[in-house]
Amino acid sequence: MMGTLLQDLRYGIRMLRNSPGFAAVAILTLALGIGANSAIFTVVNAVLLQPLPYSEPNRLVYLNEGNSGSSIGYPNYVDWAAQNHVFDRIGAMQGVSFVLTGHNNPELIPGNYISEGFFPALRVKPIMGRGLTPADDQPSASPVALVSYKFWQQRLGGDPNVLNTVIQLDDRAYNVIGVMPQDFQFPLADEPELFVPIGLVANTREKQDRAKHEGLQAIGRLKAGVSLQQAQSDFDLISARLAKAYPDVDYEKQAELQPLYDVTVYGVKDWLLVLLAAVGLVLLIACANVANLLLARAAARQSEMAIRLSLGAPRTRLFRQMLTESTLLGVLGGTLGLLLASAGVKALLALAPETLIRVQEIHLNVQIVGFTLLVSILTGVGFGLVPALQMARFRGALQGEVQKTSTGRQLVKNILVVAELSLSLVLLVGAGLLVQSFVRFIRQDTGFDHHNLITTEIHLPLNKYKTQPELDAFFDGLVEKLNATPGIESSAVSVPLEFTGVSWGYGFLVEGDPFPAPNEINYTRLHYITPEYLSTFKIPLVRGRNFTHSDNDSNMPVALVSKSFVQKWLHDEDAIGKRVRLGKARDLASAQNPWFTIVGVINDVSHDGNRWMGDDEFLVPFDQHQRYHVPMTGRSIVMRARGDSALAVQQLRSIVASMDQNLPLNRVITMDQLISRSTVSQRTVMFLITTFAAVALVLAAIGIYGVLSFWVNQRTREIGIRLALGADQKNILSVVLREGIKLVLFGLVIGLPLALGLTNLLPNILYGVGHHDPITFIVIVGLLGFVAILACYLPARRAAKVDPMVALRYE
Amino acid sequence: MIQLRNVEKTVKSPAGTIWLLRRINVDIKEGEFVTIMGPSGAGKTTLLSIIGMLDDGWAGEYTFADQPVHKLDRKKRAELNRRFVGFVFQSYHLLDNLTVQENIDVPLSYRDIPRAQRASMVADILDRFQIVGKKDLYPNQLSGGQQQLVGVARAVAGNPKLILADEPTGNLHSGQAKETMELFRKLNQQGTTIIQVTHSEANAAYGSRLIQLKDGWVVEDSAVVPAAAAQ
Repeated sequence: MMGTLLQDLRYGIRMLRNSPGFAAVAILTLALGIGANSAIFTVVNAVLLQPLPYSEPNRLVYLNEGNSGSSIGYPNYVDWAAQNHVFDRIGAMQGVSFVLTGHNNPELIPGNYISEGFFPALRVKPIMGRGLTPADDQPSASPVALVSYKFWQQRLGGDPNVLNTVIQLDDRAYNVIGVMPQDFQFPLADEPELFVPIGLVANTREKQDRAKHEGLQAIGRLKAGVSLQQAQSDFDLISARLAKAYPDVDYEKQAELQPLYDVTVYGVKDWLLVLLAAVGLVLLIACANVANLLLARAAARQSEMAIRLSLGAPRTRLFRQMLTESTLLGVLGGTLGLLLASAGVKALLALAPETLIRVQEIHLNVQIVGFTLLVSILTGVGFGLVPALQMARFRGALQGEVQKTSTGRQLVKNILVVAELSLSLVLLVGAGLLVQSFVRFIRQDTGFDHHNLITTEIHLPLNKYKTQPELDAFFDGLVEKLNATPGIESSAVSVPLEFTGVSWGYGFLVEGDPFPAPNEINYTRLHYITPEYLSTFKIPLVRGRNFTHSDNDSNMPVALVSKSFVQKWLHDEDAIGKRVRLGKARDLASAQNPWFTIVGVINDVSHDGNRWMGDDEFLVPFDQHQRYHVPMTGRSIVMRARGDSALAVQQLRSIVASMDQNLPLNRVITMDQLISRSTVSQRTVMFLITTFAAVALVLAAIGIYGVLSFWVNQRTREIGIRLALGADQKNILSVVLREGIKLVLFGLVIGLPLALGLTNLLPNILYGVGHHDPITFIVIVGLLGFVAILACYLPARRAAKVDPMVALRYE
Repeated sequence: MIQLRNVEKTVKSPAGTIWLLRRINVDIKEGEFVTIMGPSGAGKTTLLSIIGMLDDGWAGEYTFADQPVHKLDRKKRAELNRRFVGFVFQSYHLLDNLTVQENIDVPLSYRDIPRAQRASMVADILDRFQIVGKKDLYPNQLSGGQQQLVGVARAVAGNPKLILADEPTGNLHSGQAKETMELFRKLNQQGTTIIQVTHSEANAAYGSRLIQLKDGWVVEDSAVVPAAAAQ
């Protein structure tokens, strides 16, 4: 058995060597299909399929406050931790940036406040030193920090005696007590380098306020045998208890528990599955193509099979021979595909958005090689089965049987090419919708002049700038100095900054409207600005007046709104003078909660690229923001350069250094770059799907070309007869084209409902274009039809040039 | 009707130029029944294809119905072929996936004849050849003789002035062969010019003139004595 298998294999290799053209086309086609699958599967495997890199990861749960955005008020977290019965360990985390000084220039380092239980909940231990103890996690504790492996290597020179080294963070001395493992991965997308006990800041006004949400999140490790539902029930009871105890702030808060895995793949999963489906389609099309090639070869090998049969070859042996050859093709295609995938993964990582998690795990490994081998073999068997069965059924000695076999073969080939065309249509429509959406997306009017705008983020350490007036004074002073600089036309503060992916939804009530129930609150986008914002961004004021520096705490709270706000929430009535209150349901009804009077209306401004929040916006002046918000230590500065941007940045740096030499500038970047970055996910997915669709289109074109070529070869005699009977080239062209168009129409008729159905599964992030956008469908059908008919034209022209003499020589 | 002057045909091969036809000078008048004979490779079928204007690559002068074929482009030649010539093949060359009726309609469909007129012409032919009962059958449902009958019917459907027949009885047994040749004789008597290629002396006897080819040369061009036809 093994011997004959080897013989089949040897024969298969020889056959491929003897037909290098066929082998090259088949192997390349398969390599494209398998390579695309392996590349995407590499990402899917790392991001979706691998368990989280922690011990017993399925016991890890992510916690947030369901009705209040996502973050948790710190006092609530403390109560959850103390009152729950379902977690072995629970830990809090809150992203924060620290200004590191004492090492060359001041630098802003990403870090996290964590509670003592955070690392134990993940079951991760430092490779050096110790973790946090409950004693570290106290306001009165001596400040300590754990550092990431990267921080240890890059900032502390990998010093083996690093423990107890003192580092200056936000002008405060911290003792390094531990170094985290090199392969430790933070559960969310960011890569913090410093971990500081949250207990150190537990006494601050913000941490004491149950109503504040500063981005605190929590993870817990379920006790053995406790299900997520049981844990949720336990937290429901705790939430109810807290709501009773703190009716002013906790009445509508509900602890929400979900598997940590779900949170890590949120937003990525849908797109990866779409990409996986797309490459799956490409592979199917590639298989159909190679099956067609093999069928055509089978026709050419009938006499070989007849001889083998007459020499006594059992049909099973012929079947196996054919299958060995197709599997060999699959494996060769897979091997080349793996090389393509290796390059593809590198390209994918270069294109990948920053928010993609577990990037470091994305690389080819044994699993991917195994996956590719499996796909290759399955593919080889898959596309080889039909030709192998046909060949094994072939009865070479009987003339009539040859005829029947070739008719059946043509039918199978037609079915394959129709399938190819319909699958290509699905992919092309998907790509078409994404391209349309992307083009509209990047062409959208942002509502402001984004050229020549330079942005940066300045984070003031709370240890140094302890009060709101101190913080405000710094930023007011900075803006004033910038505006007095010749290289800078204008500058302003804008929080949250446009196109950074951050948008703050806030509940509100228009005076005179009935007080809404908690689940009926309307939300709008809240935006803090300084009076220079409109002139710096060049946003036209449509009505009323701009803010002035007199709009501060001493005066009446005022607001600007966007045109969409007026249309959506004020029924297009005159907005000036109308009053709006911000907050949650109970806040909205509270007499202590002041009204903001609308003093002006501005043009709509796009904030988040996707415009998920809509264009309605409520802007309040910075000088009045402390009424409602925590002191903002980090703010975005935006300036419009007058000419040379580099010079403007240089001037910014020197002004900031003159005000505080220990302040780093975080992320100096132009607005154009921010806008470009905000589209990176869409761009990547669009680019990939369009590439796959283009491959599918080429494969489908090759497919229909191959089928018609085969058809023409099979009918050379008929074409010769027709020519001898007086047909001209036009007649022959039309006969062949008719045959091709029939296939194309079948492909379109089957593909259209398929595309209509499958595009519904596209995640809902198409921008400005519906899932069933008729223009896209019409253009794509036209494109596919055009390419397919072009592919038909070549064999048709060859048919028209058949020498009628062949009909006579057929005697 | 047909004048061939110094018609020559060559093909290139790795071994050098091969002459298929050499200085062919033949005149065929309307109403003649000409037989072309000769050993395999003599150039019979090649000559027939040139006369039928299916072959483009030849040298010399060829006038057909006062038209200088050698000066016409491929399209014009095809036009002449459509108007004046009908073909009958040794293997019948009926189109397998068309019925008898549809097969007869094929050459008419290439002649810009309106559908209704074509239908009546086909019906006429079916009637004339007494194959009305078989009009909906496919070629593989017919015997060899019946298939060739349809082949001839198809050739004459467009009322050609000239019928070119390449080994028309090559695949038929003697009874069927005789019927086919009788059919040709009848058509010839009705005024159709017939040129046949054959190996069969008996078939040749139906003709009025015999052209012998050998190695591409015309080696004999003579009248057939009527007595031969009686055999």
